[in-house]
This record gives sequence, structure tokens and C-alpha cells, in this order.
Amino acid sequence: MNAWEILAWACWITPLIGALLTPLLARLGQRARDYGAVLFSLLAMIMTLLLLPLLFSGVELPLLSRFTWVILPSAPILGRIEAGLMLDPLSVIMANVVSIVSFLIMLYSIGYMHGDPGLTRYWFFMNFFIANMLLLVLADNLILMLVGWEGVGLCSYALIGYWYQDSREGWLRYWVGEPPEAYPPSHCGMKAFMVTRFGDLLMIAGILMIAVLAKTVSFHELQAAGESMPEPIKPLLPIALILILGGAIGKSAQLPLMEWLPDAMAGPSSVSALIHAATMVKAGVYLVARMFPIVLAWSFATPSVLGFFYAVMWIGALTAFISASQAVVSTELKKVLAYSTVSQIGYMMMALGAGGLAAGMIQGYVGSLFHLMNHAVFKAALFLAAGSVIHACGSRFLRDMGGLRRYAPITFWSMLLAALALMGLPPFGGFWSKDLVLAATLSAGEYAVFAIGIATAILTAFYSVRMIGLVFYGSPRSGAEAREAPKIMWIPYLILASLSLVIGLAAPLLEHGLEEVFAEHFSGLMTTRETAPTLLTPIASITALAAGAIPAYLLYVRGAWGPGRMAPGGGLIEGLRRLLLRRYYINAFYYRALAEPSLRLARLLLRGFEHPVIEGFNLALSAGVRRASDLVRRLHSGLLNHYVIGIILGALIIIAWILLGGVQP
Amino acid sequence: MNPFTPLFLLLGGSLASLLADQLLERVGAARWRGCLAACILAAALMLFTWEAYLGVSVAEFRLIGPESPLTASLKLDYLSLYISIIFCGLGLAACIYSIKYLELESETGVDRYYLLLLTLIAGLVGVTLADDFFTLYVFWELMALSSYSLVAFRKWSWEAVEAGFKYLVMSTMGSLAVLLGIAVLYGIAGSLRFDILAQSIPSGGPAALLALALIIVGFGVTAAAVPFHSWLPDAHPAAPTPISAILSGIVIKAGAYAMLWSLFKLFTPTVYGFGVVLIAFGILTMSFANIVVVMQGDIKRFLAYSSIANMGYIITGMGIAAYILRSYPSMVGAAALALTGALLHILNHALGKGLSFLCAGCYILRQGSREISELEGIGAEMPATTASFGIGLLNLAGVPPLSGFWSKFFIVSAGLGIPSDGLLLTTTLIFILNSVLAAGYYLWLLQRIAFKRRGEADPAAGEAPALMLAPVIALAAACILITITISPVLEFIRAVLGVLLG
Repeated sequence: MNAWEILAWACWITPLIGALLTPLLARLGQRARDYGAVLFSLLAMIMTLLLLPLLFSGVELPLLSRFTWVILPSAPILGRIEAGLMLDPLSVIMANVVSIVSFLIMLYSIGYMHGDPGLTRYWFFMNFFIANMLLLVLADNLILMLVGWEGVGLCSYALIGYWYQDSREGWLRYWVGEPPEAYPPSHCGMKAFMVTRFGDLLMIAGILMIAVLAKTVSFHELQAAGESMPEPIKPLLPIALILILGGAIGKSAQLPLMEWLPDAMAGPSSVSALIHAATMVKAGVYLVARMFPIVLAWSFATPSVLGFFYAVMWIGALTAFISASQAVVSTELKKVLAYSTVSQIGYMMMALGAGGLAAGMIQGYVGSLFHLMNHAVFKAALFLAAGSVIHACGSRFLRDMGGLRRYAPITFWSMLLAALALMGLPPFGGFWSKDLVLAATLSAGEYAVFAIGIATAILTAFYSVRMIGLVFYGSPRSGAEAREAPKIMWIPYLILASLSLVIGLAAPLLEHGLEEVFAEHFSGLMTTRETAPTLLTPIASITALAAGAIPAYLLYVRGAWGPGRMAPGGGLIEGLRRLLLRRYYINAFYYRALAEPSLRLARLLLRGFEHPVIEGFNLALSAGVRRASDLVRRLHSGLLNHYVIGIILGALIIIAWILLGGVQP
Repeated sequence: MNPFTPLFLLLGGSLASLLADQLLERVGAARWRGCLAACILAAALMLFTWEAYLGVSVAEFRLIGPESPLTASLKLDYLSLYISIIFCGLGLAACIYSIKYLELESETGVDRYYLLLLTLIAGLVGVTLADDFFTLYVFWELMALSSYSLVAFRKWSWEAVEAGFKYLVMSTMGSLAVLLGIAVLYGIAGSLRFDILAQSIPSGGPAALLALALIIVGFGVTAAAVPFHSWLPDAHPAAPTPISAILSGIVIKAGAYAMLWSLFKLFTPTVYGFGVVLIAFGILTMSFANIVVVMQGDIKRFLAYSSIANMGYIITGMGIAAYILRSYPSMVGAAALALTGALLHILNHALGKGLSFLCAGCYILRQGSREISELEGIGAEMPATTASFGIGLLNLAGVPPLSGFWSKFFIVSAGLGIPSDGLLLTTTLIFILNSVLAAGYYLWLLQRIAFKRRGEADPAAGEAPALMLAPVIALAAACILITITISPVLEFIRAVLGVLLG
């Protein structure tokens, strides 16, 4: 095992050890526990940073590392259990994004979660999450990735429902939504888990199909497997891919499984930043990016698999637009950011899909990845700052905020920088990556998708400025005394916001570098490498930005509108607003049509089957064993004479059996 | 390595330990008694591990006289190494545990304790190193006498004396059966050396069959097979806890080793079809023991009965291997798998049961009672002990991915490897049902000890003392380590199988 492999294994095992040690550290004291937990994420970050030089070192990628657990060839099943990690540009870059953002958020958590009684549980799950997320991006096969996938799902459930006591006094801080869609934290955790689980089920079915059809689950081998697929199974491949896409849709909160993410805002803001903005929701994008070269390789023999890219692109585009429209009317700060996240991930999916359909796919691939990096940075900054704002105002509703510019200048500037990046204002990073995304759709010839992207950009600019205006401008509407956050809280999000500016300034270099690295990596799969530079996309995106930002500026910054107010002339506009506020009634539909009937069926089964049949069987079984035990026990009389008789009897029986021909040679 | 070396180390060390302990008591440093014994056991363990690491070829060393059928001899091969490492390892853990335990229990006769402990381990190791029946019998008796003395160690307690006496009588009956079998074998072959016996036995006719039966009976007594097991539920609870751990963890395994060695090497399974007998034995043992466990209220008795059940698993694994070799000679792979499972289970059970007993000892010391109903909920006050206890019980219950799962899984896989055979299918089914029942009661015990809520926290309760906690945590760490590095362990067992099956 060389140094790179050791680093790769160590970087995900370290936070795992940190998680396991957290209860022990807690016995040493609160500070030991808090700083100890952050230390492990720092170590993980250092180790992933040390992996970066691998991309430029000339070592042949992907670098695969195998650990064998059980090898027993004679066992009919489970005879070979191995785990493996893969180091290639995608995994190393993702790992770095995850670990850097995670470390800064862990640092923030020290201040944000200070004094909370359940902190040991919090640190445990945060470190466990980081370990699983790193495992997810480093795994070299679908099954091991699935282990990490499920692990992050578990942590997400546990951390969303962190304030599981569901106290009504915490309504303004800990709950999410307004009646009739107001949910307590424990409910949100379960909802997230259920919805992503549904996607996971489809994904597992897809993985099994691929395992059977291609006879391998390793990413590396799957790419090569495309050439030797027998004819009869070719029609099944697109189905398997769409099933796997189901998992990505669930985890990345795309249509139709996006309803869990807005409600996941019931968790602490640091959790929202880490899991639901920067890392876990990107797992779906990562999965699609991982499958990208595999699908391309398969498309030479089986062109029908390209349908996968169509699905990805359209789902991304529609999600982006629909979600952005919901952000426009949202009354809660974190929900705006949540819808925004769903929308931006839609962009990433759009780029990947378009890239797969274009001949020179690098643009879409790099655009998606670059947007992923940018989004992780500025969205994390936004969420962390939002946490600080909610802390200061004592409420999660936009109607209780306002005029914070004077009292919390650092938070204001951080959120402003990050929001400008989100909108796509040059020179911020968001502009460059959004530009690549839109250019990719043009290269693929998908003009309808391009139009949707532009429309979404308009909405994005609108809700971003609206958010800034409602929180920082106008007269203070919160009753609480608002002030700046403590240093340990604003340093991380200021760093992240500044980072989005820095990335933007260095963007041309970064883009070029990424394109070089990936072009090298995918040299066998592309047909053309040149991508025509076009001025259409920057002009279109800046126009869209202006079209969205200027009205919002006039309404919310200069005009000091409240969050619930829309243009006069009630009727249609008000109806539209209510439609968007109720999330196109999609959420309500899921509850009415899926959740409630399931609960009713479950209750029926409980009364009609579980209690009489299963409970009855259990009780009968245990009573039976008890009685048998009691009977057999009487053979142990305690008298040595009886025991010796037992020996002699047993011996006689065995001697007789063996002598009388049971075991003749 | 000369196989005489570890034996000399252990035997000489027992005397040295006796003298050292007397000296320490004289000097007033009575707390350090047993440290020399621990060092000697550690040295023996290191010797064996080093030898295993280097790789070994069969080494023979003659004790007395020239090359002759009557010479006593020792051997050192992979099987001996494997079993001896387990014996010394658990012995070391129990020895370190004893240092503090005896002090807290205010035992008398501590100076003789370590002497007996070392002679017990010496006897056990000698059994694995013996290359002829005479040597084996001598060390067997050394082991039996030492273990009897240790069971009856608390000679002021009626329970210990009665249990010890029962153990003595029944173990002697077993030894007598073995002696009779050995005598018959001597009559057939004119020598007691294993290599000569292996050549002469097939022509032995009914006398060889009689010897086979007597050997199964005799070693079966120590291995706690069911009609012969009744000494165990009394002996293991009555002994001091580290001795219970040794009894359950390794002494009964010596019976399994002796059966394994004599049956597979001398009465080769392809010639003599003893597989069915072992299967019947094993099934009876595990079923009987598993049924009785659930009613036990005394924690050490609970664990003692489950030891009987686990010996049933090991014997069944051996039986399945032998049966497959006899009836389906071409399916060597499946037979090897079953034996791998049985050998791995020896290791797993030694670790898991030894760990469970040592933890139980910690609880009993704190609470002053062996009743489970009084120990309920004590786990919350002793978290490190209980975490280790949990690992040990989960290992025994066969919860994947712990190694306990793998040993049972291999035996089941082997049994299902020939689906057409009704006997194997039934055996495997009963095995699975028993494992499920066992998993149930282990988890039940864990739930009662660790998760039940107690009334008020006892102010005197706290974590176990460091010297008792250290071997417990070491054994738990070993369980986890074996789980992670199960591949090298399986490699080693494959080498062991090479010795057994040729």
C-alpha cells in the first residue's frame, strides 16, 4: 500500500474514529468533546488536501486500493468480501469539497450549538456523517458507495430530527412551515428518511440489475463491460440506469422526490448547511457524474442508454424552475435557501444531462462539477449566516427580521457576497459556472432547456435580492435585541463567502485546469474536444440577472415591502402566490394520497394481524420454550449418582452403536 | 522451536511462581503475587505466536530413549500452535484478572493458585503438543487434577467442594474410559505413538471400534457432550471467575481437540464413518443445553449451559466434516469448510465466553450476588465493562459482521453444500434453529444487564478496577481485531486443515 492509498483509507476512517470516541471524550469534559470532534474533521480535511497533488503527479488514474476481508473460495456464497477505494479526479475533488466545508461548519457549530444538552449526539452524528460521505465519494464500486449512501441518510435523519422533543415553545426556532404544513423536527427527520428511502429502493433495484447483467459492480470494470454486452440484455440497461437515477433523485431532492428538503430545515442551521446544501444532496449529482463515463462507454454499443441523459437533463431543468418559483414567495428564510438549493442542483443535473448528449461532453461535466463546488461554498455560507440571523432575531420567519444591516454588518456582507454569487453576478464564481451550464445546453442543441435555465436565472436573482432586502433592509421587525454573532460563528461563513469571490476571480484558470484534467481522463470517450466559445450565454445570464434583480430591488430594498405582500390587483396574482406557497399542492398530494392511506393500512394491520396473530404466536412460543426448559431441567437432579448413571448409559449406547455396525470401515 | 521449551517454561514457571509468591508475601508485597505467572504465560504466548509467524514444519522431539515404538514424544504443528495460542492467550487474560480478583474476594491459598493455574495451562498445552497417547494421557491427567483443585478452590464453600467432587468423579470416569481405549489400541498396535497407531488401526477389527467408542465417550466427558455434561453446570459457577473463564474457554476445548486429533488422524473419517455419531452427539448437546439455558437465574450457570451448547456446535461441525468425507469423498471443499467453521468457533467461543465470564465476575464483585434479577441494569453504572460484555455476547450470538457469525455460517454453508442429503439438511436446520434461540437468549441477557433501568443508583457501584478491566477490554479488542483481520486467521486455519486432512 503506497502513501496515496493510506491517505485515502485514513481520511474516511479518521472521522469514523472521531465519532466513536465522542462519547469517551464527553466524559473528559465539554471542551474536550467539542474541540476533539472538530479536530477529527480538521484531520480529515488535511488528509484530503494532501490527496490533491495526486492529480498532478503523473500517477496513472484511477488509483484503486483493495482491502480483502474474507476470501474462502469453497463457501457457496459470501466467499469473497472486499472493499475498495478509487482515487480519480472526481473523487478527490468531491472529497476535498466535502472535507473543507465540513471542517468550517464543525467550527461554526461550536458557537452555534453551544449549551445545547444533546451535543454528544450531535458531534457523533456529524463526524459519522463526514466519514460516510467521504466513503461514498471514494468508493470504487456501487455496493460500497451504497454503504456510505445509507450512512449519510441515517445521519441526515438523526440530525434533522435533532430537536426531537418537538417542544411547542420552540415553534419559532425549531419547527418548519406554516399551518397547514407546519411540521415538528422529528416528523421532518422521518419524512426525509422515508422519501430518500423510496429513491434508495429504486436505486438498489437498479444496482442489483446491473450486478446481474454486467456481472460486476466496480465502476472501473463497468466502463469496460460495455463492449461485451450480449444482445438480449441490451434493452434492460436503460431500465437499470433509470432505477439508479431514482436514488439520485431522492437524495438530491429533484422532481418528484424533492418535498423532503424544504422541511429538512427543521434541523440546526449547521446541519442544513452541511448536509442539505453542501454535501449530502450533492451525492446524487456525484452518482450521476460517476455513471456519466460508464453510460457514455455503453452508448457506443447500446445507443438507447442515452435516454438516461435525457431524463437527467429534463428532470434537472424542470426542478430548477419549479423550485425557484417556490422560493419567490417563501415566508421563511431557510426555506428560501432550501428551494434555492433544489433549484441549483437542478442546474447541475441539467449540465450533466446536456453534457452527455453533446459531442464534446467536457463542458457539461466540468460545468456541473464547478457549479457543485461553487454552490457548496456559497450555499454553506448562506445557511451559516442564516443560522446566525435566526439566532439574532429569535425567529425563522422573514416577517420577524429586517434592518439587520446596522446591527450585524459582517453577517450582512457575507450574505451579500454569497447571494451575489448565487445570482451569478460576475466576477463571482456562480457566474462562471452558471455560464458553463447554460453553454452546455446550447452545445447540446437543447434550446428549450436553455430557455428554462434563463427563466430560472431570473427567478434566482429575484428571490436572492428579495431575501437580502427582507432581512437586512427596512425597519427592524424583530422584538429581540439583534446583534452580531460571536467570532467563532462568523469566521467560517465569512471565509466561505470570501472564498466564493476568490474562486470567481480565479475561475478562468480553474475552469481551464478542470477541463484539462478531465479531458485527459476521458480521452477515449469524447468525439470532439473543442467547444465553441459564445457570447450568447454571458449576455443572456446577465440580462436575466438584471431582469430578476431590478424589480426585487425596487420592491424589497427601496420599497420596503413585507414578505407576504404581492402586487395590488389581488385575484390572479394572489392565487398564483397561494399556489406557490402551497408548493403546487404536490406536498399535500403526497400526504393525502400516499402517507395517510399507508398509515391507515398500518393501523389496520396492527389491530387485525399483529396483535392477534403475531403477538399470539410470540407469546405461545416463549411459553412453550419455558415449559420445555422446565421439563428438561428436572433431569439435573444434583445427585452425583444420577449423573454417573447418565455417563454409563451414554457410554453403553455409543459403544453398542459403534460396535454393532454403525461405523464399519 | 523445540516443543519441550514451552512445556518446560510453564512447568518450571509454576514452581518458580510458587516460590516467588511465597517470597513476595514474606517481603510484604503481597499485591504483586501472580505477576510472575502472568509474565510466564505472556512469554509462552509470545513463543507460540512467534513460531506461528515464522511458519512451522512438523517437528518431533523424543523425550526418552531411542527410536522405538515405546518412546514418548512431542510434536509441534499448525494445529498445536493454533490451539496453544488460544490456550495461552485466554490463560494470560485470566491470570491478569486474577491478580486483583483474588485480592478483592479475599481468597485464601493464593500462593497455591498460580501454581495450579500454570500447571493447568501446562497440562492443556501438553495435550496439544503430545505426539503419542501416553504423553497425552499424562498431560490430560495433569490438566484434570489442576482443574479439579481450582474448581474446589474455595474449600470453605460447600458449593465449590461438591462441584469439585462431581467434576473429579465424572472426569475420572472419562479418563478411565480413555485409558481403556488406549489400552485396547496398545493391544492392536503394540505402540502408543500416533503415527504407528494410524497405520495399524485400520486392521484392528472390532477392537478398534471399541477403542473408537471409548475414546469418544472419554474425551466427550471433558468436552461436555450431552449425556456426560452434568458436571459442567455445577463446576463452572462454583469456581472463582477467572477459572470459570478458563474452564469454559479452554479446558472443554481440550476435549474437543483430543477428539478432533484422535478421530481425524487415527481413525480417518474416510475409513470409519463416525460422522453420524458426532452429529447425533452434537445435535443432542446443543438442543438440550439451549433449552435449559432460558430458565437459569444465576448468571454463571446461564453462561455455563451456553458453553455446553457451543461445544455442541463445534462437535456438530466436526461431525458434518467427517460425514461428508465418508459419504461424499469428492466434496472435500465442503468438509474443509465445516472444519474451518468448527476450528474458528473454538477461537470465537474461547474469546467470547472468556470475556463474558470475566465481565460477569466484575458485576458479581460489585453487586455481591450471582442472580441475574439482582444484576439487572448494572450495566449503566459500568459502561466499559458492559460495552465489552456486549461485544462478547454479540460475538457468541453470531451477529454479523463479527467473527462469531462466520464460524456458524461456515458450518451451515457446508451442511447446505449437499442439498440432496437428508441428514445434512436436517442437521443444518436444527443448527440454525439453535443458533437463533441462542442469539435470542444472549440478547435477552444483554438487555437485562445493560438496558434495564434500575431503581436508585448504588453509590458504591462504579467501574471495575483497572487490573480487572484491562483483560476484559483486551479480549473485546481481540474480538473486533479478529473480525477485521479474519482473512489471515482463515489462512492460518487452512494450514491447520492441511495437518488434519492431509
